[in-house]
Parts: sequence; structure tokens; C-alpha cells
Amino acid sequence: MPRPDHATILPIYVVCDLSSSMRVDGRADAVRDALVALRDAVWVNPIVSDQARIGVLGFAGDASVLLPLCDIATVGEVPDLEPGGLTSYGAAFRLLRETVRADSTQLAADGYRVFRPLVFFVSDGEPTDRRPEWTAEHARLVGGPGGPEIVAFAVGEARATTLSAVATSRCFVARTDVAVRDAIAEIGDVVIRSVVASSVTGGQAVVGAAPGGFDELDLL
Amino acid sequence: MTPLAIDAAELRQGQVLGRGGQGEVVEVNLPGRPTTEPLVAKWYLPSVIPDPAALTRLVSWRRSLDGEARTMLDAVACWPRAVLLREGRAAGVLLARVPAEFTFTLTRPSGGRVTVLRELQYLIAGPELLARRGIADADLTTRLRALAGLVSAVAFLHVRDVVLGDLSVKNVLWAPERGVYLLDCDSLRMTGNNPAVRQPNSPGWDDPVFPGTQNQQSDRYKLALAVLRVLDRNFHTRDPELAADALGREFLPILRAGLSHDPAARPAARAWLGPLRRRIDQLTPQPGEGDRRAEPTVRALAGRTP
Repeated sequence: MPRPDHATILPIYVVCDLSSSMRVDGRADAVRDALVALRDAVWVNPIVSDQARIGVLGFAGDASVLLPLCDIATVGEVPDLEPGGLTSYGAAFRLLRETVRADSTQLAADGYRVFRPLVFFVSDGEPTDRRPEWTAEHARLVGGPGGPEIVAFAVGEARATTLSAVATSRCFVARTDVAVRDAIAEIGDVVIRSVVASSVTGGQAVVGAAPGGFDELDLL
Repeated sequence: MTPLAIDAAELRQGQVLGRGGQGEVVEVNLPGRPTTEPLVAKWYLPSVIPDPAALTRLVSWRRSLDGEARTMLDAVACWPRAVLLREGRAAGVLLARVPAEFTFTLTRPSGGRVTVLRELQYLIAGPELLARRGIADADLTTRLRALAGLVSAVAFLHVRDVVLGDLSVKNVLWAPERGVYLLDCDSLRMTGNNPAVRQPNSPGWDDPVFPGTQNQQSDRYKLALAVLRVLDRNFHTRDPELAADALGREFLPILRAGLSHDPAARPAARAWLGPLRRRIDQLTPQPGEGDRRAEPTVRALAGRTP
């Protein structure tokens, strides 16, 4: 039973591409810096600790939970990221579906009501698994009850048309004249602003405007 | 006097102080126009199209106040000083920089100290959320004084036909000895007029009677929510009965009225002053004992350990 003195929690997931292309040009370091900035931003905004939980998943040929869903302000050390391998969107969507389901069940068992989860999906390349495979996993992720809202960011070699099939609400595409590491830093700013704004407004997902180095695709 | 509208080319811009959902705030000064206060520019994002007439109305309204009222307004509200133009279009507002008393410093987990606005969220957050961050808890007297400052500020605006609209944990600042300081005043509106920029809608603070609109009656509801949440240390509650013991029973009647679904039953902002001041008087030591209660809070929030 939901407890009336508990917040309705917004689960937020950052899902980032850690394929081998993320090794170049400080891309993975930019992701880690953005996660540290996110942790610091939650630190100065206690309302986020009250309202939101944040988890981080990485994917390459396989996917893994880098940071289980938590109050990210309590994370002492943001894990190092070790990119390498292929770009399996299917593996990312499968693990995300399992993780979202398990986390929502746990939060409900702890007496929290849960808003529809919000996912920030970042990729710098095209998927290496076959399209029918990853689109089937994507459909299972977003189609079921409690399926998350996905905000997708395309940087580097990722194509706008691919990420627009991943996004369910917003899709941002980095302009080609912006260095990928700088684009990743801008994504970090959007994530921080969205996390804080969603918490301030009571937990329903609020996603900000396109960052300066990005264009927003019309998904309709 | 500073003109009602200033072109961006006339400003010398300094560092970016903050970025938000509507745009960014930049340190500025006006070469050749000495001002008595530090200034900042708030530049809107391209997606935010302000109504220039409404912005000018806000700037003109402040100038129409007599000296005493304008001083009072400037003490409690970050009110637009001028409209800022880029290529002839309204693109931002000139504001006073937030006074230092409404900020404090905090050590980030990654190291280094950061200056933070002393937002209402730090008055609502529970003791464990604050302790983890090394932020000292404000005592009850400090909380009540901040709330008295908030109701005074809203009462000041309401009698002058201003609608606050959005009230959130980030657009009200407080300081132990200074009351409150309202941010985002460029989105306030005068009764009967539209706001210059769209007023955000915070679902966690919405008035169930006026879900799509904001008026002085919804301001009264939000004021009651602010009192309830600050005293109960709960970001979400709307139910004074659940927190009756923590609140003090004397607040229950006015809280029930303030949160009433009958807008006409909601007390005016100034009606809160009596109950708040009586409670402050009960808690304040008699003359001679010295009021030391707020001191640890002041020291700790200023970043100094006792």
C-alpha cells in the first residue's frame, strides 16, 4: 500500500553507449564528468533526493548496470567507465526493461507510488545488432505497463533516424560542428536541468529545451 | 534613471551565474550609467518569447511606486529594472543581483565550495537530507520568521494587484535576518493582464480549484501549502491533519481555511501574520536572555562551523 507521507518517486535512468568509439576524443571521460556533475547537482538540491531516484546503465556488445537506482547524492565515487566492443541496442533495451520492472516493484514494496520512468538514452554510433532484434526489444520495453518515456540523444556517428525510433517523447541530434565530448557535456546539462525541474514540479517528467549544440527532431 | 529598455550592446557582460529552464543569468554592468546596485541580465532561451508590453508594464509599475514602497519591493523581490533588447526585440530583463545574505556556500562531494541560493527547499528538506550535505538545520523560530517574511511579501504584492502565480521551492529565497526574496518576478502578472513569459505550472503546488489558471486565490492556497510544508518538513503534503502535532494546533484552523476547495474561504496573505508572530513570540526568549537560537543556523549556513 502506498504510504501517504511518501513522495511519488520519479525513477530516472541514464543509458549511455560505451562501445569502443567512446574511447576516442575523451568521450567516455565526458560522460563520467557529466555523471559527477549530476551527482553534485543533486547534492545541492535536496528536493531531488526526496523526489527522484537515478540509475545509470552502460552498453556495448552487452549491457550492465553501472549505478543501481539510488539517491545519487549518496554515491561517494562515480564508477570509472571502460568503453570497448560493439553497440548492441537490443542488449541495452533488454536490461533496461528488466531493471525498470525490478526497481518499480521494489519501490512499490517500500510504500512509494512511482511515476512513469524517464530515460535519457545517449549513443554515439549506429547499433551493431540487427534492426528487427533491437526494435523487438524496444517494443517490449516501451509497450508494456510502466514502460518508460525515452529522451534520445544522437552524437558522433549515431543517425537521427535511428535515435528517433528509440525516443518516445523527445529526440535531440548533435550538430556535426560540435565536438562529441562537448555535446556530451551539453547533454549532462540537459539531464541536470530536467532532473531538478521534474523534482521541483512534483515528480512528473519535465525535459528542457534543446541544448545549444543540438537540433530537436519532430517525432510526430 | 535607467531607461525602460536597454540594448544588449550597451551592456558589458561578465560571467554566467546560472542557467535555468527559461534562459541564463549573466553578470553585467552599464558603462557610463553608474548604478547603486550590482546587476545581472536574464537572457531568455530562443524558445521563450516574452511579451514586450507585459515586461515593460512590470518595469513601469515598479517605477510608479513611491520611494518607500519601491524600497520595500526591492527588499523582497528581484523585480525587473529594465527590458533588454537584442536586435530590437525583447530578449531579457535587467535585474538586481541576489543579495549575498540569500546565498550560502556548500562543499560539493567532488570537492570545492560552491555558492548556492538559499532556496525554500532548504527550509522544507528533512533533517537527514540536510545533515548528509553538511547543512545545519534552521530552528523553528527561523522557519516561522521566514514564513512571516513570505506572507508579508505576498500581502505587499496582493494589495497592489500583483498575482504571484508560480510558487516553488526554487523561486523563494530566505535568510535568517532578512525574510524572503522572490525570484522569477518577470513571470508575475498584474491582475487583469497576461504574464510577460508563460508562468510555469508546478503540479506539486497546483491549486485543485484552478488547475489551469493562476490568480490571487490560488496564491493564497500556495501560501498555505508553503506554511504547511515548511513546518511539517515535507515536500508533498497537502494534509494539515496528518501533521497536526508537528505544526502546533493553533495553525490548524487557518491551514484548513487556506487549503479549502472554496476559494472564498481562503484567508488573505496578511491574515497569517498574527498566528505566525504569536508563535514566534512564544519561542523568543525574554529581553535579557539574549536571542541565541538562530545563531548556530546563521553560522552554519554561512559555511562556518560553530
